[in-house]
Order: sequence, then structure tokens, then C-alpha cells
Amino acid sequence: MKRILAMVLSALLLASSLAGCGGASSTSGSGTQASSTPVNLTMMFDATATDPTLSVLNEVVKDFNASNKFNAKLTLQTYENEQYKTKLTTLMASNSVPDIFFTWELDYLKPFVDSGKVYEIGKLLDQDTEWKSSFQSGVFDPVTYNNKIYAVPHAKSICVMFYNKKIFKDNNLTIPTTYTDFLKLCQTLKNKGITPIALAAPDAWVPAQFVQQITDGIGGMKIYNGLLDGTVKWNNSAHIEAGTEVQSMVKKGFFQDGFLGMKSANSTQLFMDGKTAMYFMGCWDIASITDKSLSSIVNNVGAFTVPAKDSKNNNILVGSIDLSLAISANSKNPEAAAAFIKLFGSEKYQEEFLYKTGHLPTTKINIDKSKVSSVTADVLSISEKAEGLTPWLDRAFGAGEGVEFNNKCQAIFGGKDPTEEFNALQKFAETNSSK
Amino acid sequence: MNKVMGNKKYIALFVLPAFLIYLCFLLVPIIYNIVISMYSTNLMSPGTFVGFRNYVNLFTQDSTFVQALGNNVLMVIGSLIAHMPLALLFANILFNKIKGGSFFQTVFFLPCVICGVAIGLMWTFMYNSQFGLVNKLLSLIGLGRFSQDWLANPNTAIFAIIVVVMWQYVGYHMIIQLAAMKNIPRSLYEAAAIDGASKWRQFCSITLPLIKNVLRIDAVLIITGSLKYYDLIAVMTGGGPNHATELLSTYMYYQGFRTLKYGYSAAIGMILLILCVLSLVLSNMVFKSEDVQY
Repeated sequence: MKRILAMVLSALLLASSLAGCGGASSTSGSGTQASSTPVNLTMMFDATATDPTLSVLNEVVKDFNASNKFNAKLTLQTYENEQYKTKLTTLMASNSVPDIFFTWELDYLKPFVDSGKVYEIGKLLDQDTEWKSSFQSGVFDPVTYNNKIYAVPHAKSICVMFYNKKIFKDNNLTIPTTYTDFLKLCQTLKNKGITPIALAAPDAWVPAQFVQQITDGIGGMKIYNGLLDGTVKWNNSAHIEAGTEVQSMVKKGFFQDGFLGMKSANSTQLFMDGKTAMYFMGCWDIASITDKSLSSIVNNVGAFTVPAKDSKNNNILVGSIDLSLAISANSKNPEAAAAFIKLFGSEKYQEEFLYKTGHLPTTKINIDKSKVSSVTADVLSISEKAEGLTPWLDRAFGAGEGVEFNNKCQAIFGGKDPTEEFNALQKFAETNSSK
Repeated sequence: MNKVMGNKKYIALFVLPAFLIYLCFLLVPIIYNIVISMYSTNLMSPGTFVGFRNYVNLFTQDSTFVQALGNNVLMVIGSLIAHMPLALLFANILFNKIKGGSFFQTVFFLPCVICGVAIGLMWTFMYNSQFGLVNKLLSLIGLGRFSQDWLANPNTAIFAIIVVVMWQYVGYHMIIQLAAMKNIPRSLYEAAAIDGASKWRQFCSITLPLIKNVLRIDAVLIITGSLKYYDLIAVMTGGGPNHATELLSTYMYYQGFRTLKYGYSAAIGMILLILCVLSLVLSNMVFKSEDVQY
């Protein structure tokens, strides 16, 4: 009796210790035919609960779940930015990425594509010419690897300088057209006791995109292209000059007090409360800036480009594509997933993204200028005038040199010597590939 | 039941579940970690075998790693100062039955029952350059010129965090040491007092030798704890600004999950493991001597 008891007990213990080790539950669905068997899709997206983009996305999901020819139901999971990156890389390594996932372009997606984790959506785009031809030319370039398309971009993002029209008007200021004017403008504001620019340094990419914009103005496209093909070094003169420029702006107090430690959201809030005159950010922030519940300057905001130090580079901006969606290689129903992505990029929702959240479209839709807010109109015209876009370096060079560039720019804002920092970055770049 | 426990087969059977867990979740991962630390891999595509190159690169080419190692050493030193002499002092004061002893005992212990994330957030607010308590206090006592953005300044950030760690765990180690002191028979102190031994003499000749064993275990806890420290850094600075507050554990996370260099990250993990084992051996050597019994 005791022996049996002991065996049962140990078996129970063993079973309980192994519980929870089971594999992931299998996804149902029998494939591509428009059958009555329900298909379950999951999607992972980078957004916080208050993100206005999410409300449009929820509409798309609702619309898709209401009727689609695959009888598919899509479940949406959202994560905050940093969590999202961790989650996605972990899921990639363990082969359990949801059917559809949000991604950044260029070097962010590349390692996943190289390891065969991403479904080649280009095949489906080629079959559906109507879908493919609805996109503007060139938008697929940053998500094309070996001439194959792996993701569909649904927005264009550019970095602009938002400004508070009321502050400008009250102080008789005009939009600067030259770099000297821009510095003069900042100094005038500073002398009047108004903080010129809101910027949050703790997220290293924020100071970095500002340095990149100044660099674009000094060296133009050839710096970015040279970095890509290896002919320009990270410690090139344009980078160092930009670092020095930025540092002198910091010394003159052009950024708000305590910007080195201020959280991103708080710095944005300063601008939205009308406490700073300008704010440099990607145009995705239009959504918050024009949201009445968050912002008190909804009708008083405009945008311009930071004038280039070398005026021939005046319309070269930091910018790239955005809102890219890709399909996982182990998705059981890539066609159903593609149907969702097609709906996401349909004219109706491209318009909604533009009018409600200020995302610039990647498809060829006719924009009704009367429906967009004045700041979106500004950004649209900036985008039309743009002669070149340099994608964020942490997207173009991924987590190695790209993220280190961000860190070095953060250090420069904090007062470190630009020459030393960029020399260190170049040294890092030379040894990073061997790790 | 005695019959059951006397049978080696049954003992093995009962130990098996615990052993399996240990095997699955500790031994196998460690061995796997040793293996991938010799590869250059992102865990998605097959990696390439690089032997000990990851380890060599860590020490010869990676200034951030060296900085993280240095920060870890600072963390160990800071923790040892706060959690050995300082905690001993507090424990000894409480041991000598001051008024409200149990109240202070609770107060000192309180920080280590609060979760690390909450503590991190609280201190982030306290260090804030705009509304933080630290800068306010400084200007109140006329040291306003020292006020700054503690966590954003690469020169002060790591020290600011070490202070929090010192504060957070001083009560924990105080309790451990106090418990050991309470095991010492009162009669020893009474005899010493009659012989005219001062409090200091009593502490050196009775308390210290008799709690030595506990101190040894405590030292191991302190050193390994501060070597593998992670949570406050993640909450307060995330290793920034520009890697100034990176520790081995946060840098390991960064290399693995941010740059997808899992092999390299595994090598950092191995260094961390070796350091922890070394510290164990070292503290055993320092405290090595025969047990004292009175």
C-alpha cells in the first residue's frame, strides 16, 4: 500500500513539475480556401493605449472581423515601444511570432528576413496588381531585400520643427529661412524668456535625430549614402560640425531646463501646453499635438524644416517609411493575413490615418486639403518639397552602429566632446562586426 | 514511513522532481550558455563557431564592457560598506535594546519589502533636477551650486544608483545580523560586564566572533547580489546615459535583446557566473577559521 502511495505521489509531483512546459497551442485553420472553418489570426503592434493611431487600427480590425472572405478573426496585441522590441526578438528566436507584426524597415527587419522568419509578401503583391499599383513609387525600397518585398509600409514619416504660431505672432517672429536666421530666432526667444525648443534627451534617438538633421543640412545626402556604402566614416567632419553646433545651442540654453533628464512625454507636454516655442519630432506626433484632450495649442501649431547650414541642402530631411506590417513565415494563413494588410492600406483607412492622426500616406490617394489640420497641411507641403530623405540611422544601421550613434549624440548633448565621441563611434564600427 | 524513507529507491524517486526542475532550468541552460558563448549567433540563423573570440573581444575591444565591469566593482564596494560595517552598527544599536527598537527595526527593514520598480521610480523623482527632493535639500542647506540632474549626468549617475542600493538593503542585512546576535547567550555579556569589559570590548570579543559564520554567508549574499544587480538600473536609467550606468547584467541584456548578439551576450553571462563563483571562494577564504564556541 505504502509503495503504491509513494509511486502515485511521486508521479503526481513529476506531472506537476512538468505542467506548463507544453508547446504553444496550435493555430486552427485549414489554409487558403474560402471555407467556413474559422481562421484565427493574431497581430502584434507597437502602440500605447492612448495612441490615436490605435483607435484607427481598432476600426480596421473591427471592419475586418465583421466580414472577410477567409472567415478570419483577428486578435490584436499591443505593446509599448521598448517592450515591443524585446517581445518581437524573443518570439522571433523561438519561432512563435504572430501572423502579422508591426516592423521598422531597413536593418531592423533584415536579420529576421535573413533567417527566413518573414513571409515574402511581395509574391502576393505581384499577384494582386491593383493592390501593388495603389502604392507610390519607391515606398517599398526600404523593405526590399534581395529584390524581394517583405513588408508593406503604410505611412511616411519625416522630422519637422513644430512651432507655436501664437508665440511667433505675439513676438513678431517669422519662420526662419536660413540657418543663421534660425539661430537668431532661438536667441530672440531666449532673450524674451521663452524656451525656444523642447527636446527630451533620455531617449537617445531623440537627440540623435536632431543631430542627424543638422548633419543633413551640413553634408547633404552624400553623408548618409557614404555611411551606407562605407566610403564615409562615422567621425566625418559633418558629424563633428553638427555635434559642435548642437553643443553651442545647448550652451546658449535653447533647450528647456532639465532636458537631459526629462521624460519624452513631459517634454512633448511642455510644447503642447504652449510653454516652448518649438519642438523637433517626427510627424507622427501630429496626432497628439492636435488632440484636444492633450494639447492646448491645437489650432496654433505649424511646422517648418530646420534650415540647412549649407543652403543647398535645404530640403533634405530625416525621414522614412513607417507603419510597416509584415507576415510571419510560420503563419498558417498568409493569404488571410495579407487580406487584412490590404484592408489596412485601403484608401478609406489611409485617409483616416491622414486626417485623424496625421500619418502621411504611402498610397496614391487624392488628399482633400480641407480635411487636414493646418499642421498636417504644412507637413504635407514639406514632404512634397523634400529633395531627399535620410532614414533614422538606428533603422538604417540597426542596433549596432545605429544605436551607438544615438548614444554618442546623447553624450554630446550632455557636454562630451563631439570629436572624441565620433572617433569612439568609428572605432566601435570597425570592431562591432567581429562580435 | 520509516521503511519508505529507508529505501534508497524511494529517496531517489522523491528527489527526482526537484532534480528534474534543477536540471531543466539551471544545469542545462548553463551548459547551453557555455556552448553558445563560443558562437557568433542571433539564435535565428545557424551561428558560426568562434571559439574564445567573444571572450577576447570583451576584454580587448569593448570599452563598454570594461566600464560595466568597473561599475560592478563600485557596486560591490558600495554594498559592502553599507551592508557590513553600517548594517552591523545599526544591528548592534538595536541589539543593545534602545527605546523603540522594534519600531526602528521595522523602519529599516521597510525598503526591502517594497518592490524594486517602485523604489526606482520614487528615487527617479527624488533625483529629478526640476522638482526632486535631493536638489531642494541641497539648496536648503546652502549647497545649491551642487544641484544637478543626478541621473542624466554620466559622472554622477552610477553613484546616485549605488546610494539607492545601499539604502534599500541596509535593513535586510541588519535583520540577518541582528538575528545572529540574538542567538548569543545573554550570560556571556553579563559575565563580561561584571569583569568590566566596555561595550566596544564586548562587541569585539563576544559578538563579532560568534556571528562570524552568519557574516560569511551575508558577505556572499552581498557580493553576488550586487554583481548580478539589475532591476533598479533598468527602471532608473536603462543603462544610460551613453552606457554610463551599465552593469554586467544590463549590458548582457542589451547585447542579447537589443543588438541580437546572443553569443556575445552569453559570454558576458559566463563572466558574470565566474565572478559570482570567485566571490564565493574568496569570501570563504577571508572568513576561514575555526568556529568559535564559548
